[in-house]
Amino acid sequence: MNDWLLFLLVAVPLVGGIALMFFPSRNYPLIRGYSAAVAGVSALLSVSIFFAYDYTAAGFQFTNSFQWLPVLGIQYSLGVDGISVLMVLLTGIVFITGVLISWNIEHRPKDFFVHYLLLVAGVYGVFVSQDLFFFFFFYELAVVPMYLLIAVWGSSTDFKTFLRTKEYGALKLMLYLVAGSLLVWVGILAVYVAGQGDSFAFSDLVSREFTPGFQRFFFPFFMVGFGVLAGLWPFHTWSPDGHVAAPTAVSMVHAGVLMKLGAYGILRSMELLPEGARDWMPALIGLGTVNVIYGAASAMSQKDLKYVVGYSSVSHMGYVLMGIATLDALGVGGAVLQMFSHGVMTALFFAVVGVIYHNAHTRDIDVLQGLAKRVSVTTALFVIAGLTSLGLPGLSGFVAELLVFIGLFRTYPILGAIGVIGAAITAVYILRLLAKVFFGPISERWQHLHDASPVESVAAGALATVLIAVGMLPSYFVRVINSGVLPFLERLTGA
Amino acid sequence: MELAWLAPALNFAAFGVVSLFGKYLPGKGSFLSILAIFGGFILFGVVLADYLGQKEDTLSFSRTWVELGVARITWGMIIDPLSVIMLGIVSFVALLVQVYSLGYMAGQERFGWYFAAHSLFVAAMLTLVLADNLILLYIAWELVGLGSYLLIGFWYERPSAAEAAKKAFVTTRIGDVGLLIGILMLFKATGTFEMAGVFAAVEAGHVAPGALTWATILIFAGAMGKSAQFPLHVWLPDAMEGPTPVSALIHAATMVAAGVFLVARAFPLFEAAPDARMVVAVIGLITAGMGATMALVMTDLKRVLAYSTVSHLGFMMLALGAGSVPAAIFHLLAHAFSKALLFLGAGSVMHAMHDETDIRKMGGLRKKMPITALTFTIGALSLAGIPPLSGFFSKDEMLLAVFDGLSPAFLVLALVIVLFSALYMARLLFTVFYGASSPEAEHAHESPSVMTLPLIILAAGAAVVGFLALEVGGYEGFGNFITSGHHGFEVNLLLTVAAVVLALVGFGLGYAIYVRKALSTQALMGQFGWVHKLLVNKYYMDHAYQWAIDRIVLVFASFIGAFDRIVVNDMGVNGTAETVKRSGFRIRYLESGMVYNYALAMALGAAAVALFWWLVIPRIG
Repeated sequence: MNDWLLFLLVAVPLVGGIALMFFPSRNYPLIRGYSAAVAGVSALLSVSIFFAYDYTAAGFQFTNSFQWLPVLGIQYSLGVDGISVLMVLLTGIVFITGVLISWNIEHRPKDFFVHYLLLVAGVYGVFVSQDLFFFFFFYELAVVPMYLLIAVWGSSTDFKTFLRTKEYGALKLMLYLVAGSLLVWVGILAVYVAGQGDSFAFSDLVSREFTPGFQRFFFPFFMVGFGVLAGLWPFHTWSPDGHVAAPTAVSMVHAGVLMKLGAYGILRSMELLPEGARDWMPALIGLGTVNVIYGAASAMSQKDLKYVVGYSSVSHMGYVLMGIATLDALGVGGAVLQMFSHGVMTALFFAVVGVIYHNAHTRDIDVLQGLAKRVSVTTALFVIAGLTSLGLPGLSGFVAELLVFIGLFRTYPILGAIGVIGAAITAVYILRLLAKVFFGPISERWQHLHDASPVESVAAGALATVLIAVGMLPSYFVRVINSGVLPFLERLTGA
Repeated sequence: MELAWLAPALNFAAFGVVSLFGKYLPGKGSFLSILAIFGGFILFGVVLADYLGQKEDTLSFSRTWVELGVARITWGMIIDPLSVIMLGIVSFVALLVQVYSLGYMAGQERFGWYFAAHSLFVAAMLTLVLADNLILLYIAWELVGLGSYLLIGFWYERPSAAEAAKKAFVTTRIGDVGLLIGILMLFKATGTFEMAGVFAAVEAGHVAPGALTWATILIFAGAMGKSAQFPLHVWLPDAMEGPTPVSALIHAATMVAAGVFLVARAFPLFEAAPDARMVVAVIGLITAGMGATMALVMTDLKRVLAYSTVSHLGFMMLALGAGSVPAAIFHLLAHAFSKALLFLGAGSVMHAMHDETDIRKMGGLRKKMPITALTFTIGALSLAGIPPLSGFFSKDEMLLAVFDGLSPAFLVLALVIVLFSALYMARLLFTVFYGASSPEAEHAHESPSVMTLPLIILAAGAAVVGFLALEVGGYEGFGNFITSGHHGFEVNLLLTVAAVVLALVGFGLGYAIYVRKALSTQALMGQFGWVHKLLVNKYYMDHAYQWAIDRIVLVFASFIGAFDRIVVNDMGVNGTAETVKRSGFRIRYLESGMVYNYALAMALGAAAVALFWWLVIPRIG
């Protein structure tokens, strides 16, 4: 049974999404009930895989593979290690809560959920694929529905001085992700050819020797290609613009999971080309530092809630990149935990912003004021996300950032200090935002604002609970991560 | 003694239960919070008794929280004289404040939430004082900050309260950046977060002096934020936007005590880094002087008290900088009683005066509210340093520490501040409670007993805890207790007499100015107009910060924001797209339909591929 868990994990949303195409379009309760059931099964699978993963044994588990195109050495091969199993859990959590947040979507719900299920199937596929061909295939599978979800169900916003239409956001996101994937595809093909051209299997390719010159030349293809997806500066602008255009659930998947996919891709490609990776780490850590400070400063100057959260994602992903680039057990471990923590946190942020937008029909910080008086649940949830963002102990972000900081101090102390300062800048813009939007006297206009609906409260409440649980009891998560990170680093620094 | 960890745990539990289910419980769950802190106080008694029996520092509880590679972070609680004393101060003051709040906050909206936040605040503070390692200390430290944020911003509908809460959190967070960097530097140098391990490594000289000095100063930066030291003191006076009992808690037992406690706890570092200790002394002196001078001119009852706290905290830091932990902690204790008493007394006055805080509208309240007046007088006299109240003893020890440990200039300035302390306390006392009754005070009345009882208990404390300094019979005295017998309190008669005379002069001056009107305040203001203006404007510190935020931080942020949209996005991203589009328009002319053009392109292309194959591929091979 365990061998089939990962197969099911990908198959459930994929088949579920395809089957949904044949449902009657008008039966809304059936459509969303069915989508929630599919998402619920997937989330249960994710949770059981995470807790069934044996971190004492480490390595790739639940492996399963089928020959697909033996001539080219392509197999459909699945497996998770301590790093990807956490990403699987993250995807499951964001998936189910995203469906719940989209409960009352009115415009063509059937098509929305079909695309949403396919999107998530693609994301799951990337995290569990052990074959570079399918890794790439699933990645592309995720990108296409993303485009349609934004272009059809998104929203256009007029910011007075400039206009951001949903078509612009969707096109930009699509072009960036395709450009990034192009670089990655070149890299994959190069590795495939140089590695004797007989296998796309990750396990085969990591054991092949590549010359240092080859590694140094081709690692940037992966680093920049995946970096685009992770919001690496200066290739980040698709991300905030994409959020502003995207519907709530898509923003949740986009910032919550898709950006992690980029960081995850960087980690995996480092294993493929360890020597090249080592040479390029100073560049990555430098750009990551820029991400942290630049993202935070940009977030501070924004007037739209989604832009604030979008730029804060750019900033927080900087910690992930910095942590990875330390090549230190604590730094990399912290980065992986930060991927998880930030994924859940930003999903919560977008869920709550979505609730506010849905009820108030605006995300303009200058217009919203004193909401706490009227919408206590929404406020409490936003405050929890905000406190996680500024690294408050007791919430998951603190543990992750602390580990990254320790890793940085062991390797690049000055950058570590800059990272700590970045967390303080985050505190400034988050607290300013809270004071402006939620506190102070409530304006006449919001006297009758609705609070989050029960379904929305459950979804966002579940995300908040995860943040608190990981923040209070991180040790299990850290042990699982550790079991993935230690072999990873052995390969990178021992080679 | 092993049960000490229950003290914070009970209060954390109370926070969880009351915040989630408070509205379904009788009294909105307030009794649970009070029960939890009462439990904390009982545990203090048990731990103290145990400690006095054994006289050994012990670890009460230690569990691994996170372990990754070389870093191990534990939940560990240490029981030593310092943590026992702090446990007592925190739980005792918090208990009285919460009982008082039952009356003061009665009928308020979010009554349950108020008590829940109180529990969180106290739980965090109790964790802080018991923590045995630097990360746990930092965690508790940040949670104390959160507690203050929630309580100062309790009336969040008021813009001033929302603003003050934000200011407190952000300002202290600036200090916390230093604290965390300092902790991480020490970890890098010693490989451990355990305080005992760090101190041992420092004492053994395993940490380079330069790094140690910087790490220690950065740790002090954290203390500067929480304990409102110059230039991070600006949040404390604004923090009075919270309910008055919260001010009592913040000023006496929780928030501001944290910084002084931190320096005391980390004192081995300061001993090993004399330069850092000198920084503490100088910052302490500046803070004490600034606070005392500003307290002289403020007209808001709570603001005068707030600047008085700033001044006293500066004094404690000065004592620490002079090298005396016992004197600073003893003053922390005496000040906690007196200041909690004064704030609760101020709350009682406000309760009677319909939330009026302007002291110019008060007067003669002694007749309307005798208990409040009497207890307030005791608190004020104690902080002014009048014997035999507790503030006299502790101030005496601090002055002696300055005399022993620092240059005479420090002592002279400290004595001037002693005079100012007495003067502003006299001003407050005489203006509010004595003299002619003001029209606004006509309808004032004494507060209910749930509020006056805590006042009486605190007044009794403020009157007698000073005697703990004395060595009587089998009792070894506070100094010996807290240093485990290494450093008893001493007396320098000349210094004592000088301090008492200065305090009496200050008080007498206050009497002459504010009761006998021998000196006109108007004339004084005319004489020293610019000084008065400087002080009333708080040395223009708030203006300077506002300027820095508006003109530097926000301008920088909008610059980055505009740069991102215009340069990176419009020029970089859209510009590239635009260029591609235009090139496409041009390049389409290449599609001429002429076969010989295509043949040429093919030949060139083939040549380029061949060149690449021969020249480039072998190099990257």
